[in-house]
Amino acid sequence: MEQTSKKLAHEPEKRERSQTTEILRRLRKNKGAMLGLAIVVFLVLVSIFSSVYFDYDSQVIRQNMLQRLKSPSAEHIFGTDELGRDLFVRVLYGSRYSLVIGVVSVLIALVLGVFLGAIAGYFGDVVEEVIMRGTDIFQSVPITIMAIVIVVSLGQNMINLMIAIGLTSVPGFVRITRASVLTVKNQEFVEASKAIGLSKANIIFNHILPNCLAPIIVQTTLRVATAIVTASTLSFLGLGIPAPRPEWGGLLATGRAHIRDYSYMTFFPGLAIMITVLALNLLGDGLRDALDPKLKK
Amino acid sequence: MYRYVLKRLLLMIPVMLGVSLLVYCVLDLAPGDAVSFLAPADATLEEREQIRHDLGLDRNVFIRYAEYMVNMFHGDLGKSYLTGRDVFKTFAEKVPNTLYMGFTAVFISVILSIPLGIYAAIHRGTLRDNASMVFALFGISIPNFWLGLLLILYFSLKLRWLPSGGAQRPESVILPAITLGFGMMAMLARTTRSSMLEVINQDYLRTARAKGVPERVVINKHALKNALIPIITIIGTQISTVLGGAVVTETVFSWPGVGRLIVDSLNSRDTPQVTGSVILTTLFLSFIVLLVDILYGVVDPRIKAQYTSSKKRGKSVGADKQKVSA
Amino acid sequence: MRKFRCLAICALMVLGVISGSASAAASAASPKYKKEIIYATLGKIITIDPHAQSNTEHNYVFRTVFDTLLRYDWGSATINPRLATSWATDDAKIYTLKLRSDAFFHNGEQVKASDVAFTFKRAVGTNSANAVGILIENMELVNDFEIKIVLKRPNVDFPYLLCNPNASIMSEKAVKDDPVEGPGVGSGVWKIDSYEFGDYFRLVRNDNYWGEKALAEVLTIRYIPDATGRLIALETGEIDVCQNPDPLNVKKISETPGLAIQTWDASTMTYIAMNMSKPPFNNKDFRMAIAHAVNRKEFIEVGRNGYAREAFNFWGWSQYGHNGGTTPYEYNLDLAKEYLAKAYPNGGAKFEITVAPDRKLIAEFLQAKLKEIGIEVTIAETDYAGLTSTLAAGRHEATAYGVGLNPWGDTIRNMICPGGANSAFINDPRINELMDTAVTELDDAKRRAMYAKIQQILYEEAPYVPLYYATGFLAVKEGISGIEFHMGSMHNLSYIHMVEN
Repeated sequence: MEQTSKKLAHEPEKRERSQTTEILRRLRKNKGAMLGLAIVVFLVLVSIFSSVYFDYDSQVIRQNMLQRLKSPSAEHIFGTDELGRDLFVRVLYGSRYSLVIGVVSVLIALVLGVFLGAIAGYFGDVVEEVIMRGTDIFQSVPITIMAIVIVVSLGQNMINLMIAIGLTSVPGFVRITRASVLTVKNQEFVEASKAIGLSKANIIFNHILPNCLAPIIVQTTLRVATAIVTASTLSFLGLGIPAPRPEWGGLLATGRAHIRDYSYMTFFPGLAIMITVLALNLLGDGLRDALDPKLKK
Repeated sequence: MYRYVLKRLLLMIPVMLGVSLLVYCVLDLAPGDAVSFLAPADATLEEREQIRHDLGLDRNVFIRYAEYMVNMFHGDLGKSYLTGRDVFKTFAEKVPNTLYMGFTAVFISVILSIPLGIYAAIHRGTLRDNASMVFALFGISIPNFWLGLLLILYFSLKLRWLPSGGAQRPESVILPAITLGFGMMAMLARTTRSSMLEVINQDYLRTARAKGVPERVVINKHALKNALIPIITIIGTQISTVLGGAVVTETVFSWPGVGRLIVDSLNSRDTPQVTGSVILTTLFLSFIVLLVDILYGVVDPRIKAQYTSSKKRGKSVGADKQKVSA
Repeated sequence: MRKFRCLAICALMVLGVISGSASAAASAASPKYKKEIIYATLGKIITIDPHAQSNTEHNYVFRTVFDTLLRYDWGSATINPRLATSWATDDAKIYTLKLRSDAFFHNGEQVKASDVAFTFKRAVGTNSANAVGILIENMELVNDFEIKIVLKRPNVDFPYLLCNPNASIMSEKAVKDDPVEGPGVGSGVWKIDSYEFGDYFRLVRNDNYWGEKALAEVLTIRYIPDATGRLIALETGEIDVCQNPDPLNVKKISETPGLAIQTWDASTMTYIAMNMSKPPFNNKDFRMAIAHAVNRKEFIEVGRNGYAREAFNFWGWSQYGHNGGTTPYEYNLDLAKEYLAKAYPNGGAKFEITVAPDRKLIAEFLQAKLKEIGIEVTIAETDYAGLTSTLAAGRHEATAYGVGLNPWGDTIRNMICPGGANSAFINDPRINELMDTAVTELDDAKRRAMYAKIQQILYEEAPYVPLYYATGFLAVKEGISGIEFHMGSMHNLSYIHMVEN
């Protein structure tokens, strides 16, 4: 990551536009990344249209005792769950929870992490020391354990879930932002901004951060993938968003209880999580390669 | 070097303090307390209150925390609310299980991934390379609890080859270890491949080939040796990720390790056991990270030089690696 | 009264000391028994001390490792001698018990009256045995093998309480010598060999037991919290018994070669509790509306896949004084709507139900059902610790929960009188008074009449909607037998065995 920002920072600002087109060109050439992007776009469309197309009350959560635990068939292509609800509908509808949790929790981390990282990097000294030690503390506890502790303590609902996952993702952003800011802050244009008397906030947010975007973008993409997995992990452990909302991890947890005789219930939600994460990883890898040609073989 | 190590060791003290404060006090916000698990279902309110009082739960959380801290610096992590047994002793009982699973996971992923990475590198650009790398990418993306369930479904339920859980038999470790190590394996395979590609076309290898050294020797002896440093780096940083990810794997496989101890204690609001276990886990992982960093210094003089120039490198090596881990 | 004249009971002792299924296997030309039986539980065991816990899993250990003074036999619904050879009382206040002289603790000490006194003194202030301990005013050692127990108030249910695992007799010497491991020294059929809390308990046969000895040599109790995990372990042969398989799997298990299902008619009642102490359920009409909108049969289908006995009123079916079937709530949506209209003339009825994950299904189903008559239900899911504290503090509006109801009458006290597990927060002076009187009443007919009256009041006040008594299941390897079932949670595993061919 540090090399990424160095590379960018050395580029004069004038060539910014041509650089962007160059990045996009490289990204387009990367088949994996384009596949990832396509899947991500597809998932977003699914999550939007599933709420338009399916009625939540009558199709997503309506129970049907006569249709319990039916294996996949033409009528229910993913089968039905233990309360007779169509799993295809529930898995599609569930995409919105996973995506929303992934995106919102990473946004929380992004805002907090970039802010703290930028301040740490720019001011240095005591400020940096305090922020970085705090980050150390947070980071030294394994992510899953930290998230579980937070969710159990705050109570179980979607907002707390996003807060918990967001908080565990903050250290990554702090470090990356700080590292980028460190490499940029002694550049001439920053000195120039200081000389003409711009405010510190102005310098940090309008001049330094835009030059640190590349690693942050990559980090964001990959973090969304992590967040989705962490969210489904928590749901799987019974700490996810409350019933009857069909979150993928929750569907998996239910499926697990019936894995012996009705393994299809476990298969599809897991597949959905994997495809989503795969797509985000592909996209993230592609972005990294595109933003940092030096790493590309 | 010694100064660097000493500094890293000293830095662990505030980290421990911070972690314990965070866990102990955040846990106090959680609804309910250990009394729910100690009182029988039909206990009266007075009986519940008595148990709460006996545990000291009716006092201010900060006072309790301060006492806990004082005891901690005397080497006493307290007694479990639930079992009344020593927190450290309970933790120590579970550690071997988690380490056994963790290191088996690392071992399996190392012995599988490096050949796979080399194989892919040698056949660069072919279908075989692509297939290996797609496999690796799936490996990184697969949520490990799902992988665990699929393995149970196939290898224990269908084929009846391996036990589905517990740590009773020697072969019990195989499925959890594969589950836990799969992500690492995928990462390692990718790193091995790219690191091999970097060295494979270097001049000295071409020289070796020109001299008539068999291709197998070129790859195994000359190329691999030079490609090893980035691979070791990944192994080092992944060990702590792997051990940290044990929580879920232990739950899926009913593996009596530290992760499940923490989750169980958390569910029963056993604050001393949770706090103590998290502190010890964190301490342990920090030591591993430090150890790995020191090892680099021994292996690679270029890294040793950085100890003096860059202040907080060690931690960030592991930290900035982005990997999807459950 | 006649029930409490001891001489008749003493005669029982002569007929045979050991109750239940144990005796069947011992006689024939000694078949070969499987050496080790592994029993997988869903809850973890966290203590060896019978005064510290009293749930199902702990009772497995206490029932096998310890002995009680008396033993309740479910089959004949009688109380039988155990460590005590006889017991007598005239006024339900002073009980005299004679002990057998051939019982020894696992540390070699003889079981004496002083141990009994020690045990019950120790019980006071403990987590799970306080309820027994505080009933006792004082104890008098007549000699080494006879003790007189004086209660503070007459209690006709006291002999029943002496049958419970939390009244297991502990060794005074063992506890005083070693406060950590000593509480695990009993005089039962099995003794503790090794254990790790939250993982396993390994028991070995007590070859010095005074009565019939165990048939297997080792009994291991393993903690596998996940139902599927347990079942798969059973199928792959890792364990011999799987506690509480999911009812949805029961049919397939019984069809699987090599596996079998054992069932018992459990007395654990699942119910919906409505918190009467605050809105919206301080409104009786609203409670009645819910009570009449619930179709118990459907809940049995959803919650237990059909395997349960309908609960017609809020009382254990096997509990003393059960007034079976006289006052069930009628499932009648029109009537429910009528009550609802009285409670909410302008509509807008809604409430929140707080549940732990294991009753989520019931809450979800209730939510779907009540929506049909225009009641908006939101589900607050919390873990067990969160739920119990929420219920104890009365922060909930409603909950779905279960209670194990024992055979004696007073067992329901904490559900319907203030304090304890009364999650409906019913505080009715009539009930409180009747319960207090009934427990001291020696006349059978009078006592039954009081309990019948309480059940009628409960019907009219509708603090709870009783749903069902779930049928209990064990999934076992074919050939497992000898488990002495108990309608509550106190099965006796002492004589569990499996004949090997």
